[in-house]
Amino acid sequence: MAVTRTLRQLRRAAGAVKRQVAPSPAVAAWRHACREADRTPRRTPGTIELGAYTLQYTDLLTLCPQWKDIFVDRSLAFHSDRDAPRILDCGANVGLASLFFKSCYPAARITAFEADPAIAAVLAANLERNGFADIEVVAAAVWKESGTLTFYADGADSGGIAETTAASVGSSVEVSAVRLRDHLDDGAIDLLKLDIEGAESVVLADCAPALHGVRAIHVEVHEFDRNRRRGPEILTLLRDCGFTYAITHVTSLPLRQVGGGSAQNSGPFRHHSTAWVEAISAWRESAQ
Amino acid sequence: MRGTLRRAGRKLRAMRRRLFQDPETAAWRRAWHRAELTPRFTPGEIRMVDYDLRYSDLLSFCPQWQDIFVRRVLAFRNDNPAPRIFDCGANVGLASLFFKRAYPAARVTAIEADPTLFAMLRTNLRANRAADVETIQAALWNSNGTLAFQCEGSDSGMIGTLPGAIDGRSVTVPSLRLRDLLEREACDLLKLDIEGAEDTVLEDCEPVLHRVAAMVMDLHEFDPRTRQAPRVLERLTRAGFSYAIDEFVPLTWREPLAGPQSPFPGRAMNWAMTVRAWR
Repeated sequence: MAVTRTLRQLRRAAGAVKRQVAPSPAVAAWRHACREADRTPRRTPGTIELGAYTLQYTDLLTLCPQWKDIFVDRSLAFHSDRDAPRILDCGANVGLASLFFKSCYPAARITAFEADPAIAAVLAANLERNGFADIEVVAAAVWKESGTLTFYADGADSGGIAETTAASVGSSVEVSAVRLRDHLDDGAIDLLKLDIEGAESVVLADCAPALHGVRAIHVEVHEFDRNRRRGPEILTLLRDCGFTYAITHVTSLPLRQVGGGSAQNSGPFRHHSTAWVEAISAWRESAQ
Repeated sequence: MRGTLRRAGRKLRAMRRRLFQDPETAAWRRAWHRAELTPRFTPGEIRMVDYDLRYSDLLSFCPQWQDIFVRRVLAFRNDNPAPRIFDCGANVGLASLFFKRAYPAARVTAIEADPTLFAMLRTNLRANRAADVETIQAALWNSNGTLAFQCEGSDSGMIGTLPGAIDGRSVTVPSLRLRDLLEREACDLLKLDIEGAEDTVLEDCEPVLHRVAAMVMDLHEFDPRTRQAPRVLERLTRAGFSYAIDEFVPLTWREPLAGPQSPFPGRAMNWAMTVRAWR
């Protein structure tokens, strides 16, 4: 027994050393980005080489966890039998998710939506520069109707529509909006990725009658407002629309608590964040 | 330069934490090493800081200790020096001991269904200066009577009729309505870790939930066909609670996982998370 245990510990230690000395390309790129972010001021646009990509960014510090999440932890990985799956990337930010989908399915037919006009320009530049000009970029917020909306642009990864963002962050700009539901009627969708900072419950409620053509959904549910929780209604809606779902992650975001990070927020449970993001994967059992 | 300094600082702090551990962490590390050498589901005794504790399964005891005494997930603030606490799903008693440590005058009632664990719970409370904790052997449910309970031998025993029930030795245990307890007296903290019975019990308790000041609940999802979390969370909102979710754990070792034909093969379909609710 003692020998087995020592062997197990040795193997674990050897694995740790190996990962440190010879990291995978995705991990090496992530470490490089974190080192650069350590010496780059916040919200300073620039360009960085990450793995096989040359990427423009608006804020390096938020690019790091995005890279980790998408390319290291592969949180958006999905399986499709089709060579050219149809993907809607809503809340595309600077394009990491779309690049990841293309790395899995080079023929994927992707439409990327980004509301913040400044970030949408970076998104388009990133996709074109890395050889993916075939990805359609829509510089608009996805919403329940077309038109214009007030949008709080924070220059990084937390901008949101004024109507559904609990706290106003950054400067407000007028952006155009498209109705997501119109894009669901164009044919079957293999993956709908929805990371739209609080607007998800409104948009999904509007899309519900058209979700029958969607095979799989990744949605980030942003629970920032303790007086208005959205998780239960979104999960209920997914079930009612015939999806099986699994919550895959819950990330506490103490800095995004409404009313600041005040300790009194969570009553007798001090130091527990009242703000979090839930990552949910949903799919149809009969799919494919 | 500044980046290098910051990284060096981080490394130093990590080393300091490793070298100068608090006693709870040190005890947890020792128990963990012992668990690697102990076969599963073997009852035994272990000394943790100033507690002499019996356990039924060291490998599930270790994370319990870590959660409760190292990460202090049950910590709560109360102006009453003698808060009234219901510890539902008390297991071998770590939560009750933690409450008694934080509030020596706390009036705690510990409820556990599994007969073997219940015996250990009583022994542990008596041997560790918490003999005044009231203990009840029962499974919480929406009726008083008896129930078939699947004993798992550690921390996953559950009522046999619930969706996703595990295989185990089935025993008949008394069932108890939490609603009766709450009708008799209000409580400052309701700790609820009852392995899938959350929605049934809270549905029954809904008319008396205003007598609960705060709640820490382990909310489990064991069956993809009958999800309970949305209903439970909506009940909390209706009863006037604010809530927050934390400590999400995908139960990757419990069947079923998402099938090979699904877009997300192998994804865990069962999970547990901690819900804290307050007014």
